[in-house]
Amino acid sequence: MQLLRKHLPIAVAFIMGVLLFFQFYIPTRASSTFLENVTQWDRIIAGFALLLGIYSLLNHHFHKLRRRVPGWGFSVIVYAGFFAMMLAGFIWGIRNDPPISFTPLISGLVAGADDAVQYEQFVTSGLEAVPPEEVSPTVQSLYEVIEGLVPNDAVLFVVDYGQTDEADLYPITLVLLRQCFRKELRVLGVSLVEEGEPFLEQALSTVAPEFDAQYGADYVNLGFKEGNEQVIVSAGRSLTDAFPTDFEGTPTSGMTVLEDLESLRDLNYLIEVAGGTEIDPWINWWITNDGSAMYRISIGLTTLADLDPAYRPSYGEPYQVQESKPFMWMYDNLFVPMQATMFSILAFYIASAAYRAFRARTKEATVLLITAILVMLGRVPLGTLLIRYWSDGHWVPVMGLSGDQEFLSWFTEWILNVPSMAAQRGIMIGIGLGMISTALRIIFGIERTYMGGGD
Amino acid sequence: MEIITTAQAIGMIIAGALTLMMYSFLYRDNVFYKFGEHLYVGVSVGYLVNIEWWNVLYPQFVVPFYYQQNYILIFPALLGVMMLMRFIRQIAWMSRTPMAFVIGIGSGLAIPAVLNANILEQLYSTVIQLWITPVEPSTFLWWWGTLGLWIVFLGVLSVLFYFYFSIEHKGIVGKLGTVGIWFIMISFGASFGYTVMARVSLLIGRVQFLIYKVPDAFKTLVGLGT
Amino acid sequence: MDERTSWMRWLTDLDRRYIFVLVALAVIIPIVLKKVLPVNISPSVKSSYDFVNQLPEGSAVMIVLDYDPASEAELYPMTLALYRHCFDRKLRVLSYTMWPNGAALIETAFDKMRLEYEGIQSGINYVNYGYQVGGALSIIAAGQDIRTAFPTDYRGNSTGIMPVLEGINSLADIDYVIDLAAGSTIDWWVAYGVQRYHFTLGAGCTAVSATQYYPYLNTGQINGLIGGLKGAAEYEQLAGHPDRGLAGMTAQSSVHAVVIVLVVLANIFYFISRRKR
Repeated sequence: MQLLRKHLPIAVAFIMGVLLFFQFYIPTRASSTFLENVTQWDRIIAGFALLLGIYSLLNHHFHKLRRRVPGWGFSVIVYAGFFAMMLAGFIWGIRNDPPISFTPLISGLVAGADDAVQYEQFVTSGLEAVPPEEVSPTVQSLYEVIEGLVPNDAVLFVVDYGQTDEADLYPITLVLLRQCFRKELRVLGVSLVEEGEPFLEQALSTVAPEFDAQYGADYVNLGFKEGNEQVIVSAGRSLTDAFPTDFEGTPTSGMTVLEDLESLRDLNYLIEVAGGTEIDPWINWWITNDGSAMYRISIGLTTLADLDPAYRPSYGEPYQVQESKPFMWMYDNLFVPMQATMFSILAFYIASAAYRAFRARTKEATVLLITAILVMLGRVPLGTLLIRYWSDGHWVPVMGLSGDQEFLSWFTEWILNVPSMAAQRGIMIGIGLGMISTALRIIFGIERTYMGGGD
Repeated sequence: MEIITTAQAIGMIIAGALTLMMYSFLYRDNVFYKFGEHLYVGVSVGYLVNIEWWNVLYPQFVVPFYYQQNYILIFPALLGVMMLMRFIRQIAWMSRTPMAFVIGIGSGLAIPAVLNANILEQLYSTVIQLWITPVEPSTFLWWWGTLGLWIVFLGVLSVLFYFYFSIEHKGIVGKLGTVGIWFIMISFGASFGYTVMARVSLLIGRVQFLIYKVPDAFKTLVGLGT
Repeated sequence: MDERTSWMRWLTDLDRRYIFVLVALAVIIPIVLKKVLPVNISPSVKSSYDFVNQLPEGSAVMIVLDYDPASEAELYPMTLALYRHCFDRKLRVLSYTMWPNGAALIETAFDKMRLEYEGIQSGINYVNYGYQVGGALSIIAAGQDIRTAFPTDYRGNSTGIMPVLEGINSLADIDYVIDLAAGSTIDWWVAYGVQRYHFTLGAGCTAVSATQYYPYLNTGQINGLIGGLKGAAEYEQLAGHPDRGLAGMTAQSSVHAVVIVLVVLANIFYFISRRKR
């Protein structure tokens, strides 16, 4: 029995210690495999050992409950929390599902000449072209959504205005088309008002050659389709049914540009340039029937300034919602706040301790105090404000030797990197030597306290 | 853009309430604090059981043993179970062998690791460079940098001498030891300053939560939106 | 004379709850006022930032969250700043922890990133290995063969053929490892990780332990050290994602001022009372 109780553990410690020590210096494949296996075994044992902690906590409170020790009611709370958390994890899982995206009805809105000018600035020179205070969020949103599309994404480009609004809306039509072609998107042009067809044709034939876009492969002109909202509903079922031919009568089925596009649901965006009340029916139909949810696609609307109030309420930014599983909910709202708060109480205690106990009784303690104060000042923005000199009518900070930091900040950094680092290095070397000596004592069986329980 | 769900908003309000309950301890120990403390203990054990299964036993033992048919792993599993026998007084001695196994491995691994990382590398860095490069010699920056390197050298040496208690601290050893104490005081002073920073940061985190997140949660519940 | 000594005695024996109130006010007022001050960037944080910044797209970064909610106030802002920087640069992020209580915290952080960076998915852009038992042994195991060491992720999904691990067989194949530590795990990463497997290691730590890692910074065993909430604030400023770190610096300044005043006052009273005797 002595063999198993006393000698075997010491022998095991010795053998494993010596083997793992030499393993470091033996560069063979076998040595590496040995390390892998030993590590795997050790981790399994450590994994079982974790159960010890769980058992001991539950056991302590179980005894309190059993013996009805004063305060045993709190032990009920322990068990309640334990069962709730444990079951939540095993029943509903410990990981949240991916977030759900919500697309708004109108995700970009350009209304009126000012917005159109700003949009053109974005397209030609980027977002930086306009100062942030002047940026209109709805205009920026439209720009960003289209910029966020990738080559080969498909957009339905709807031109719905007539001659009365040509001056206001034709230029922005060209700007939008140019952006689409620059992003190498597939453009399906259509018009739901008869007057819009010539503008659609003119715009496409102006812009497409600038980007070497091929008709039938990169874009198509589906012409004027009568029916307003019926066209959209039909397109929601099948694009080729809604638009059997293009504006010249050529059949659309088989066109490369419509490849993989069954219905509206397969498109990535719907850009609408609209001038007047003729197109209101279909946009209002879209809004009342929640077209964005039906077709999983939202609209980027470009229209006249006076129509803005009608459509702005339907404008929204896309958002995502992350639902929490019960386990993660309890972790985020019970566990994390409580543990974080318990440790944050230390902030109060350290301030109180600093006041009541921290006296400069000796020269060494004074040095400690002064260094502490310097570090506390130098590591926060406040400290760097303190050392300044007056020059040319305003306060100029004194810079440190490195030139890029203010003096106190630089000096604190120097303290940490030079004298403090030296002391810490000395301590580290000392601790290292101690660790090696303890390890050797364990390996040679001189140190046996880790085994526990007498002997 | 992020939207908080109703469940999350309720959760944040509960978290805020629990935070304040824990802070009530600063005034004096009370039933609210005890409630929170015990709830924390219970929830943490329930959490640990889940993590123990999904992150420890399942990947480390069940997957290789059962799915990959690595049956030899029954041996460490048995050693692990023997470790658990610590709580049963009659067979507590069974836990010694797995403990010895684990501690032996740890000790064997530690010696070369600590020797290289904490002793040899550190000593090497201290003595390898005693004047600064690549700065023009004899400029102020050069003198300052070189002074720094010599201060490090002196600091490491003096601190090591201070901690060497096997000989009496008299004469040159005593003087070096005293210099070492000064270096240690500077380092501990910096540590103290940093410790104050750290503890205060913990409090700042909680107050940010109470002041920014909890009102947002109330607003979501009432329907105003964020 | 008696009056002076009596109120001085009251001050030196001040009920600590008054000090608590003072500290609470010093934290609450700046946070309510929401004033943000820019911070000085220290070289130790900049070197970590610069290293991540020059990694090509698709590089693998392992960010080890070796802390639990007790230290989340300092290390969670650091985590988010690093995650945001990595996802901005389209790097692959691998995370795990050696602290059991921190496993779900990694999941919370990635959930937040999923909301901010549309389209990133577990297993493709990032992976959360959860809690890994064994401490330093997990480092050695990962250094030998990462798929054997971490066969499943946090949820139990097999990691064998995850796209995010393409080309990665061990720690040596990882382009940058950063350990965000509340305890002494950085020592383990240096001793058992860098010494054996020679990868580039950076470190973040709570301010409490920051001073003891400067020797590693000096030898080059770690190439950057992000210390405490201030370090997090600096990284947020560099990465262009201001968050809790920068927001907390004003409150940090004011509490430091309060503590310094308290310590100086206490010492003044101490010297005065000593001179009397």
